[in-house]
Amino acid sequence: MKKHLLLITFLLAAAVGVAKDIKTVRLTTTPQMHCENCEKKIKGNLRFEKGVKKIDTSIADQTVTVRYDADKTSVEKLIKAFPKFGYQARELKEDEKPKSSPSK
Amino acid sequence: MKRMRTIWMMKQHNGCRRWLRLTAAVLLLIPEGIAAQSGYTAAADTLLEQQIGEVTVAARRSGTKSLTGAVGGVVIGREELFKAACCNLGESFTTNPSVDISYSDAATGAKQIRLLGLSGIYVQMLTENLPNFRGAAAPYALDYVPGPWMKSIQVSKGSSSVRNGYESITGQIDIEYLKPEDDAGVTVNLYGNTMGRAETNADANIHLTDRLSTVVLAHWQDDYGHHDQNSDGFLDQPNVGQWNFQNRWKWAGDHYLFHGGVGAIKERRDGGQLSSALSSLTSDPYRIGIGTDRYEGFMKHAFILDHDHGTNIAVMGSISRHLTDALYGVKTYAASESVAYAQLLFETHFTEQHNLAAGLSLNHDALNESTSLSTLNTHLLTLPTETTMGAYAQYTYTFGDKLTAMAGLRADRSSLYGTFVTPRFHLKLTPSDIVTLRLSAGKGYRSVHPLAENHNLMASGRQLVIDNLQQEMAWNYGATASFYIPLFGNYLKMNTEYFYTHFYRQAVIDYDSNPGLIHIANLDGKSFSNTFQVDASYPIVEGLELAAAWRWNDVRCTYGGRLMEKPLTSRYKGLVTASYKTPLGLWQFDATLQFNGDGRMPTSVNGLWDERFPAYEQLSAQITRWFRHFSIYLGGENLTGFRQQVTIIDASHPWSSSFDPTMVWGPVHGAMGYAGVRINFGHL
Repeated sequence: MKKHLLLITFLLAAAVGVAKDIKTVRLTTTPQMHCENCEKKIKGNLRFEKGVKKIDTSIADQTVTVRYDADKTSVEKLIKAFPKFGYQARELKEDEKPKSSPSK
Repeated sequence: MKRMRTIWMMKQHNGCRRWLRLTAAVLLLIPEGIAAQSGYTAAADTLLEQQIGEVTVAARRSGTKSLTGAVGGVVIGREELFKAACCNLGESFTTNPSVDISYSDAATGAKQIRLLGLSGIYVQMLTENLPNFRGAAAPYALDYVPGPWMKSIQVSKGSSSVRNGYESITGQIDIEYLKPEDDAGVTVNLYGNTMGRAETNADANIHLTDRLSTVVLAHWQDDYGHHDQNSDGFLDQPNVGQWNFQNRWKWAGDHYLFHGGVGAIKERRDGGQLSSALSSLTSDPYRIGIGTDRYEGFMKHAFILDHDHGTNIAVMGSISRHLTDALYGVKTYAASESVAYAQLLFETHFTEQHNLAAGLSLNHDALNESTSLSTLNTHLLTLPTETTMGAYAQYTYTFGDKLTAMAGLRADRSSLYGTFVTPRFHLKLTPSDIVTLRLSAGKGYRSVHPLAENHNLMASGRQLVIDNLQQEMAWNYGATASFYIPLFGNYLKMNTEYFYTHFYRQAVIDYDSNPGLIHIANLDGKSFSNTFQVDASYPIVEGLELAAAWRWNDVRCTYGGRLMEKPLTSRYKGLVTASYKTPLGLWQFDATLQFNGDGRMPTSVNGLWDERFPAYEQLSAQITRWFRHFSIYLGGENLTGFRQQVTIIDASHPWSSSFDPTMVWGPVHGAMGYAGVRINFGHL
């Protein structure tokens, strides 16, 4: 029994040890996204940043939602990646809505 | 510094808008082939438009898309082309069921498209929506378009619009190259395979001003392998060395667009008996050598008269000069062909419902041939130059997303064949978001250049006899139903199609009537093709798409008074593909399994071969890893290793009349591995 408890404790500890700290951040860009090409450019470049797990873009909401591994990257590092491909980004506050979508 | 960065970012942003404007303008410039055909089916289009605002990298776009216009077909995009190495156009159809590619002989490596079960000569080849690769260029045309140069391939089945001429009996293939207006930068592709082939491709885009851009495309390949897997003393495939170069320009104003370019190809094919086999030979080695030089140029001018009604006038023209010098053992063949083509077209939308397109065309085709063959009718070698003038009108009625009806009529006057009329009709119905129906009927004609198109048949030991041939004429009828069915939170794309092609006049290559001859003669009897295809694709889980297709071919022709199954044509073709891309698209895994049906061999001579060839399977797979500035790919073709054991009949007697390398129905080589890298160097 003791052996089993020890094993379970060890497994739990290991699970906690390898559990990734996955977080989500909402960003908005300057200039705004206008078309599918803008989305492609952002997603096509951002995906190579370390720790990025998933990227969702929305032209209607003007948001770039990034799921990332907080052990490998940070919001600051993600924001710093945007100028590499011609954009600036900033984090959106919890209920903040960015400016409405530009007319196409 | 910050200010500079802001300016640069504004340029990027303006570039996005400019791209939108240019795209809209280009749609005006390019006729039916692209404007009305590109994109998804109407139903799929609507749904994707709704989803486009919120997509993730993982939401994979399908590699092939259905054409949206009245003419049915598919667009094969870069996503699809990257599923395999796709060294050239001929290798671009291995992962999808749109077109079959077959080797037409073992000695020269000539590959042929088969559409609707019929030879590729009945498919009209277009590059950038201009007819190309006719006559002497036809036998090896699939090798003239390097894979990495292509942006997309449009394949339309059945009769096409009358805009591009009276040809296209079974369909149309339009190759769109990388565009001058694409993102500026340089990309290099390096490729090598276990058969000893090395390739390099490069493309460079330069945007000189907001309106003027250019693209340079370069290709080099060579074969260093001398493979003879079946130990018949002959190379399994010829060693091909090729240089290929193109430079295209685009100028886009508000009311005027220009697109033009030049290209050159130099190719050498060396095949035949191997040096290692020489010691055991009692006679001279049988060598095959084909040298080709090709030069081409084109230009398009479009004047946009009225943006609101899409009214525009366009003038297009192309010229090409094709020089071939071939040796098959002791037989020689040389051809020089000059082709000039010009088209003037006008298009306007009277209202949203009514569209009229009308135009004039002029084609001049001068072919000079010489050969050592003595059995040919001499008049074929002094084939008069053919000049064809044509006029067409095409009316399209569009009723929202529900109905598109297109009727086209053209009249052409050929200096060889007189006046002939080409009517074509297409109807597309979309009764609901789930289903799209298409009906088509159309007539097509083709001028035959028997020796220029089939000089690879000179490799056969049989006597080649060519009659005085008529212009070919056929009707094609088609019916397709496309379904876009919501299923478990995703969409099942399904397509069923039936096409019937009936030849009234045809140049028939007859192996059956006389075992000592290959006789190219006018059809005397019936010749037709029935094909039925079902294909479907479905994204099983996020990033994983499965596709399957099955096609039945019933192709028959009259040889020596007997209606027979067309030889060397599989009775069916099946395809299953699986493609998985990881959520961020950094890894991609692709696999394709092909099922090729059995078929009839030409009537056997002295029991040298069986009456039928067997069914066989082929497996190919590729892994791609994407990095920010480059990607690497590793793959294999024909992984099951199946190959036709005897590709050359009576290979030990190359100077005999029974020697024949043209009886090829399957793969000539076994499993093959390859690796490559695509490097993007970014802006110049």
